[in-house]
Amino acid sequence: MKKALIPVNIDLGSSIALRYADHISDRIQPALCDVHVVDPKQVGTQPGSGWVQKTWENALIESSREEIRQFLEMEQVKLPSLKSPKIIIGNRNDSLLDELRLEQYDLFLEGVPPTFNPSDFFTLLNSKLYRMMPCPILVAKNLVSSDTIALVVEKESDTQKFISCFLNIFNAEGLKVDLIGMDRVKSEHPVATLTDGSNAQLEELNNLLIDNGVIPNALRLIRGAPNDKVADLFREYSMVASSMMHSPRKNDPLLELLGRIPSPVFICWQ
Amino acid sequence: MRILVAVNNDPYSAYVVRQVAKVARNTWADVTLLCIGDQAPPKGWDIDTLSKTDGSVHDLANLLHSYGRQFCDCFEDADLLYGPHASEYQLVQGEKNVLSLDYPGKSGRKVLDLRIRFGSESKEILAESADAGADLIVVGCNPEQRPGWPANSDRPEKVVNNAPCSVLVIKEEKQPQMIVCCLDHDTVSQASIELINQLVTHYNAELEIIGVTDAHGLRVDVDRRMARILDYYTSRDINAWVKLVDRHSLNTFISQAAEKNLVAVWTSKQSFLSKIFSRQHLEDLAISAEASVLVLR
Repeated sequence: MKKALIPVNIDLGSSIALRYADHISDRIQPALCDVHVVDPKQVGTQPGSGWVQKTWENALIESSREEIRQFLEMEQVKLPSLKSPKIIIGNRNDSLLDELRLEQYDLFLEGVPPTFNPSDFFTLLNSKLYRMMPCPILVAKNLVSSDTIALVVEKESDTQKFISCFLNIFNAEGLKVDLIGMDRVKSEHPVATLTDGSNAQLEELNNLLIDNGVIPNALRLIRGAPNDKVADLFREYSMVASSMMHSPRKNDPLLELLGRIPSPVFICWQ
Repeated sequence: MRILVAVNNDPYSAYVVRQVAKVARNTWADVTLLCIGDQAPPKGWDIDTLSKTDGSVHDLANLLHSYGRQFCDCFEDADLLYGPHASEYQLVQGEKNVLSLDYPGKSGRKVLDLRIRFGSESKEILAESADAGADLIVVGCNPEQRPGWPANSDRPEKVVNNAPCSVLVIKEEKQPQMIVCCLDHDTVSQASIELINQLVTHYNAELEIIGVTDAHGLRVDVDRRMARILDYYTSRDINAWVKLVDRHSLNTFISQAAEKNLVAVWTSKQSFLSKIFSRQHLEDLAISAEASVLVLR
């Protein structure tokens, strides 16, 4: 059985993630599960060792469970699988990585509100958790009511691997997608544009999707280095999916674009 | 809700009146249209002597009457809602330096006051807002006259800075695609949330809620308030986006956002935004923003 993991805290990011998970639950193949990690270092000094420590940790788990229960109740979480999260004690990054590997999750879905500074997205993708992420990620930045997904590829994208990974997570049936290629991103275009158009890579992507029963709505090209104006055009998409290497370069145009896009971003690792 | 609209003989005021009428249509607001005469009437004046000696008062009254009719034209049932404003009016002297246009006939369920004051524009707008108990002051700005307002006018800055209530500076006839709200979310009032709701509906715009972060990130109470505000709008089928902006980048962000979007800034005394966003910045924003600006209190 395929599974998706959603880390839950009492914060805006988790509110967005939970609502977004509910919104896409009929289009996503893996079952959604949530987990809350309690970092003892954030709570206070750990008392003693042995049974003293164990008792303290148990009390911490129980109080966290109650807080999260109230939070989920307030958020009016509908999906039954998200109503009783697993509570883990430990360092957040290490615990989530252990959980992802141990339970072999197929997707990591996290709510992360976007920021004015696009380099914050670079920092996120270069965090230990994302650098060592064993499965694709879905970063829910905002709630978007549209049902069309943008699939973005650049010159170095492995389209076959990308589509295989994407369709492993999302139901092909009834999928509405636009295909977007990044063209001449470092060229003479001073102002980036997003217009209808195609290139060899988009054609390949188009054919791969058609082979899998998905007929894309439109093929479009971004010309020039991505900026906020182009990124804002992606507000019409419920999600922007792409593929990239772990630990991307800071000046990677695809990373720049994904960092500026306010819609949720799905990334398959190449 | 009571809206005070400052109008003058600039044709742009007609646009502002129509915009306010659309908001009033949704909110059933009481409305005051206010015209300021620049020359104070002579000492000891009364309506009879003024009518005979000062033709400019009648020009102002006719102008106001025309705006009143334009306002009512935006409603199908204006007579029922605001009472008759199409017939002949009578100038009535109210308190010191204030004239009102009085219309015979049955009054409506809501109030549309047409008033003339004399003196400094900003001072009289603020005085009228206090007298009327206005929740929102609306002032227009002709884009062709930007960055200056009518010659020697100090209206926008002083009104924006000193008004006890919210102020909407309408800048352009272009519809904003997005309303960008920098709210101090831990003290935000329901009235200001409703006002933004009305503007989103009026402009058919999307909404972006900005959370201001510091070195420790987003404050817990602000984080929770943003989640509730997001919930409020999304449950009303309003496309609401969130974004976090570092307090050191806030001025840059707002300057960029104000080029094409209606920017709303919360500036109450309790607000930490008012510490970040100085009075001078607020003045600059009201004057230099390409699009309309809403200062929420």
